[in-house]
Amino acid sequence: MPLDTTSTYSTTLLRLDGRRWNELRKISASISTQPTADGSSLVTTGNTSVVCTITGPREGRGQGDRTNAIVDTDINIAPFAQLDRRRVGRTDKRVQELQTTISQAFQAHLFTHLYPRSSILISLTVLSLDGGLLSTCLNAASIALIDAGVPMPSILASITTGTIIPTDNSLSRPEPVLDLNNAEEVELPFMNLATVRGQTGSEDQISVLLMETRVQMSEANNPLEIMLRIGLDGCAQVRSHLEEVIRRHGRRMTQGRR
Amino acid sequence: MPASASTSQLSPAELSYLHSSLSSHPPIRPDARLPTDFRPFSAETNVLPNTMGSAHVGFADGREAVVGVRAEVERTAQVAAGSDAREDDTEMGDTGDSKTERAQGKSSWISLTLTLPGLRDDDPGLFFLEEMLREVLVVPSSTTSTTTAAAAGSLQDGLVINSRWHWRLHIDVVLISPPEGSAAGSYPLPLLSMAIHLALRDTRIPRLKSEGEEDPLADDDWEASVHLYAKPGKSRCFAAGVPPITLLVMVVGGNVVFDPNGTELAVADGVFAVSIARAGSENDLVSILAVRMLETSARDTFKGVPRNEGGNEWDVVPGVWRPKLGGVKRAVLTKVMKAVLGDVGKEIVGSLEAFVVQGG
Repeated sequence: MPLDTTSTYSTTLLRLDGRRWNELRKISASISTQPTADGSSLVTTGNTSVVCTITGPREGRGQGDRTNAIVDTDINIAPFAQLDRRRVGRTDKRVQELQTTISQAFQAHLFTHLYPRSSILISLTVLSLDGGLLSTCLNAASIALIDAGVPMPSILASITTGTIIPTDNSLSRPEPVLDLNNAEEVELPFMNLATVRGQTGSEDQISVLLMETRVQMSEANNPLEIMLRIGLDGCAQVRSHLEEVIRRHGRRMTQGRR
Repeated sequence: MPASASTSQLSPAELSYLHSSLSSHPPIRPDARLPTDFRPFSAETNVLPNTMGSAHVGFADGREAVVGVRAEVERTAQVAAGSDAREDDTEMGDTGDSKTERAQGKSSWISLTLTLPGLRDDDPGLFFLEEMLREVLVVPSSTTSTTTAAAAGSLQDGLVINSRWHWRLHIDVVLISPPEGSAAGSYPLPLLSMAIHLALRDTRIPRLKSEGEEDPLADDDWEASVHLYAKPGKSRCFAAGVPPITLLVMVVGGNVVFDPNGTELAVADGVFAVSIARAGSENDLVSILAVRMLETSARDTFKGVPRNEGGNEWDVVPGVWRPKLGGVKRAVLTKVMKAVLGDVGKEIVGSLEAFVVQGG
C-alpha cells in the first residue's frame, strides 16, 4: 500500500483514503449539545471532532471597548486527540496563533456593535484531530454562535485546500485537493480558507486565509490561484451543509413548541 | 484546596438556613434528594477513534467529562548493569519455576492528566485532584485484601510485559463545562471518577505476538485485543476486579450526605473523598481503598452578625451563621465509613456493573 499521495495520485487520481480531489469528508454537525451553555455545537469532519461552547454575550469585566463586544477564543487540544499522545499546553505558540485568528475572524464578522461593553467567549475543545484543525474550529464556532443567538450576516464556513505538485515534471499542472486529512497535511502544501457570503448578487468574500507551508510557484499554472478557486467552492459546500443543520434544528424546535 | 471551585455566593443568612435544613433529621436537601441519592448522569463508552478506551459522562448541570486511555510500550529502566545482571538472571529462573510470583510493576507507569476549563496548567488544585484520582488506581496488590488479587494482581503488575519492557498507561481527562459562575461550581470529583472508571473498563490492550523475553510485537487484529480489566465471560485480563470509584461524601451536623452539589458543599462541616472498589469477585462486597479529607469551602465564608450586637463576639447565637473551622468527630467518620460500606457502595458498584454488562 502506498504511503504518500504524490507518487500515486497521477496514475490513480485517487487519494490515500480513496477520495477524489473534490470530495469532502463526511461532515456531521449538531447544535445545542450542551443545555447549560449559551450556545454549543459539535462538529465532526471525518476523524476530526471539535466541541464548541459559547459564553456570552455577557457583561465584560474591565472591557475597554465602549462600542463593540470583544470576542475571545480558548482552544484546548485534548492529549488523546492525535495519533501520538502529546499534551499541548495553553501557552503553545501555534495554539495561541489559532486563537487570535479565530477571534479576529469573528470580531470582524459578527454584529458586535449591538453588544457594547460585552464579551463573547468561544471555548473550543478538540477531541480528535485528523487534519483541518482551524477549519473545523471555525465551523464549530460559527454554528455555536448561531445557537447562542449572536447576529451575523451569514455563516462563516471554512475548508482546507492543498495542491499536489508533481516532482518529476515541473511543467505539468499542479492538482488541487480539497479537505485534507492529517497524512496529506504533513505531505502537501495546503491553506486554510474561510469565506462569508457576500451581498446579494456578489461573490463570497474571504475572511480567513492562513497558509503555513511553502508552495512552489510557477508562472504558467499558479498553484495558489487554483487552491483558492476550489477552496471557495468547498466553503460554499460546507456552508450549505451547515445551513441545513441549522434549519433542521429550527424545524425540530418549532415542532417541539407546538 | 477548598472542595468547591468557586467561592460561595450565598449570604450568611442563606448559609445558616441551608445548614439547618441539611442538619435536620432527615436532612432536607435543596434539590429534594434523599441523603444517599446521586445526581442523574448519562454515560457512553467507546466514543473516541484514536484511543484504546474512552468514555463520555455528562451530568445534568451541563458538565461533561471525556476520558481517553492510551497505552504504549516502554522500555523498563534497568537498575544497574554488570553484577546486578546475574541477580536478574537468577530471579528470572525463579519466576520460571513458580509462576505464582509475578513481576512487580511501578506506580509511575500509570499517568493521569486533567484539563479543567479556566484553570492554569500548573494549578496546585489540579495536581491534587490528579493525584487523588491516580493513587487509588495504583494500589499494590499486597494491600488489597482480596483473594483474587493473587490471580491477576493489581493494575501496575499487569502492565509488565517482560523484564525489559512494560506498558505505559496514559489516562487523559478533559472536562467540558460552562465557566464557573453560571452554574453553582461543584467539585467535579464524582464526575471525573465515574468517567475514568467507565473508560478503564472499556480499555483494550493489543494482544502481543511476542513471547517471553522477546521485544514486544503487537497483533494487528483489534478483535484479539485483551481487556484491561476483567469482563464477564472473558478469561484474559490485565488486572483483577474493577477500577475503583471515588465518592464525594459530605458531613453536616452529624448527617452523612452523598454526592453534594455546589450549594450544599458551601455549608459542609467536613468533606470526604472515599475511594471504593469491589472486593473479590462477588458484587455485594465493597472495600475502601482510600479516604481523603477535603477542605470545606464553608471555612471561607463570612460570619453573620446577630441583631443584638451587645454580646461577646465569640458567643454562639443559634440561627446566625458562623464559618466552619473543619474537623470531624470520630463517631461521624465511623458513620461515613459504615454508610459507604453499606448499601450505597454496593448499589453504585452494582449499577455500574449493570451498565458495563449491558453496554458490552
